[in-house]
Amino acid sequence: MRQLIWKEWHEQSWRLGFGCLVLGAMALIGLHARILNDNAMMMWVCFIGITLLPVLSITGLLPAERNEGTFESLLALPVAPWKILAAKTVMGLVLCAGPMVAAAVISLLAAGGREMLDQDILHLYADSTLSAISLLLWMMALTSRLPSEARAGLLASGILILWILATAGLAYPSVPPLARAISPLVFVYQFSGDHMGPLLPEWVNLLVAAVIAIVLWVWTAKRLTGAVEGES
Amino acid sequence: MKQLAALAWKEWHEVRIYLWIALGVFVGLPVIGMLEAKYQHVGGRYEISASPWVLIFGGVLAVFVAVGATCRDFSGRLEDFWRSRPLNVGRWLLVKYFVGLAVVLASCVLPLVVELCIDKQKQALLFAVWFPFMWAAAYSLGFLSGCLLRRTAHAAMLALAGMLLVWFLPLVLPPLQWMSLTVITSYYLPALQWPDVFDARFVQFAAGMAAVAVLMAIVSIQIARRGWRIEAGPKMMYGSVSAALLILFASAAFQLGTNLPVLQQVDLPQMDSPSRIASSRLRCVGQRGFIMAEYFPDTPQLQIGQVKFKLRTFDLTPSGIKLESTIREVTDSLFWGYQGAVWAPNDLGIGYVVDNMGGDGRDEYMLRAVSLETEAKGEPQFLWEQSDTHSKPIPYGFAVYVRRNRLYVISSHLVVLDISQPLKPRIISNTPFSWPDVPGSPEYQDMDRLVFTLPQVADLSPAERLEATMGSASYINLHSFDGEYLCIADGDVLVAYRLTDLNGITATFKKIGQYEPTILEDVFGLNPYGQMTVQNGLVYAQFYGRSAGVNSSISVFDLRSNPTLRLVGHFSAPGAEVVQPLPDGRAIVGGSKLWLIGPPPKRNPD
Repeated sequence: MRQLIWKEWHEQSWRLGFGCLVLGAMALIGLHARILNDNAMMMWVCFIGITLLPVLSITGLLPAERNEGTFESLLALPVAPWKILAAKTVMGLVLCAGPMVAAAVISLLAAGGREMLDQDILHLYADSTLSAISLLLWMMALTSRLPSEARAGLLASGILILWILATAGLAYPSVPPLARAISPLVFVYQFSGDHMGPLLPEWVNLLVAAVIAIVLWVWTAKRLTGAVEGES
Repeated sequence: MKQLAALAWKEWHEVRIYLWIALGVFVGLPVIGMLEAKYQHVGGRYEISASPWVLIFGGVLAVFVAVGATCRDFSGRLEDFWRSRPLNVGRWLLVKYFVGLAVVLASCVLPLVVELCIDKQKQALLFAVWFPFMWAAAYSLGFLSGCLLRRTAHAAMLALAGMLLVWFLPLVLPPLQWMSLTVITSYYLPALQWPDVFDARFVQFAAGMAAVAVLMAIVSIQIARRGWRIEAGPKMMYGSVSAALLILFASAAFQLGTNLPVLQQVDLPQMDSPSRIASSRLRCVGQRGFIMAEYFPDTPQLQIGQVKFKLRTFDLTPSGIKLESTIREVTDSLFWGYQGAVWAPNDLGIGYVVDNMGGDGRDEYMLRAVSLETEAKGEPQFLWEQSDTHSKPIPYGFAVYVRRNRLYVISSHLVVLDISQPLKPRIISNTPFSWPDVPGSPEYQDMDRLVFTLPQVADLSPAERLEATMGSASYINLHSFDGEYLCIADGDVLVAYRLTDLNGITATFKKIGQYEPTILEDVFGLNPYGQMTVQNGLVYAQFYGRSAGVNSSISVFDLRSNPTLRLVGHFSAPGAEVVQPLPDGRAIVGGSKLWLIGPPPKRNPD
């Protein structure tokens, strides 16, 4: 398992560096220049993180292996397939969370306590990281059998757009609060308004997200074979 | 010659598909739009609008054609085949370059010509004449990228990133603004006026783009001759695209954002409930000052009376601002909104305001003395009464001027008051007064010279008369005068004048420059000018952030620089709406907090 994680780290660490650099630079430039107020600027950084990081991560994990033809070799190793998926999942989590953590640290250093309290900044980034990770698991489950990075990227973008639209739909007052919790964007979407009714406590959202994540992961692990979608 | 013709024929056959597709999009879609409009608005004129399509997608087409042309022949064995032919690589590439370029230009210019023939408006003429230079630059970038990477998708991404820089960097970097697309797009050409089409600015733009195109083409051919190539992978692709976007973001951010050092930040008192805080008034006299903060409750619909006004005084020490602990809520609306107040010279919060207290077609002018510090009011002093002001308007409005313990109200009457007891002004003299008319509100940006007729008040020196004229001159647009420089906001244009002649009767100003807000300021939703203050040869102009989340900002312009009104500093922060420059170069800015900012980093003394 450690060797699998080392392999993933060796292959994907540049993506982590890239994500940290882009998000960190955006946060630093934006917060230093102060064109936008700190809250708006950090929300932009989080928005970019939520939309880009899961797509960037997912294309480099399973579809990249299939594209290069190395996935069959990986399955032929004397390792259970779920362990391969676990290593890739850990790397995916690091790819999503790492740049968010970097951006949060830079935001705290550049603007902590300036317009927002430190705990509010941390809360914003933590919520965004949770949403990015939830999206990652959805994307991983649905793109695990795709043969190329390009197709995985397109489908992941589609999933992202679908969830953005669906979450907006779930924001209707008549939708029961528990139904909103199935959206990966529940942590960052502003479900507020006069007719929205009571919001669920954060732990309920977390619980629902955890259950969905486990179900998606188990489903992905069961489908993790050499078969590729679109091929008979 | 036969060889070149054969090459050209081959290239044409390979790239002509782009021409048909482009004509389908650039002409076909606007024609459909035209027919739809025709059927919806019966009797309307046939008009085709191809230019939006061409302007948006012309550059993308240029990149695709160039990348397609190069990557097709530079990939795999085809390159070996071409290199094995008895063919000069330079010539072969030149033919490829020019045939592709001709297809791009035809694809973009023909739809514009169709628009020109059908439409009344002749704006497309500018695009048809000058934009080909920009498309040539984009095409050359694509050509270079194709020669260098030789993988279609990667080359296209890299070229599009480069094109973004060529298009948008001139928008955000002032030294490159002569190469900005807006030089062409912002010019309005209602009719066919050939001298206007060949304006020097357009020639400059075209020369810049042509230089980019030629340079890229030469480099491409050299690269192909020497067989140089870069192995493109996802790292390079992600890196180049995000680098381009970060460069654009950073350039825009630092042009509009903050470069003045924050020496100190002071929190303003909080309300019990969440509120948006804005500062409406800031004044500093010597070592003491006050800030009036407005508290807007965080509710969707603001009700009357919900906005609270709080006043807090402070001491200005060498180490910074020290707020006094007393916070006073100002409840009387009398003290909230006077923008035209004239302040007592040595009393921090005492201001004088002339009010029309009349009614029923009768104007009765009163002087009020108010103390913001204590919320005390002096007894209103009757100044004069005037009826039928519509037929005989007061020419200069009111000029209220304070000199030591004398207050002068200059209008249709000259009233001199003793203010040795600041809240109990006492009228010393009140005589009818004549002050010649001034032109209404001229277009200041068109006026190279301004002449003001000064009020003939015997007690005042020429400089004091001028100061009185400028001080509360409601007849001039938003302005500020520091004894030498006068800045006036004429719409969105900031116009600067310098005093050239002052005698007892007139004051003459000469225009020394003007500043027009950049496109970037407009794009980011910054409205000029909320407030303006001239001091130490600098003008501090406030831009109000009208879009959600966009901070208001203070821009500092140097009046002594060459060119005049060079932007030397800017400061953005939430609600930064009032500014008080200090004699030592620092400034206090009031907004959701109070900031003490340092002097601008660059400054030309003369």
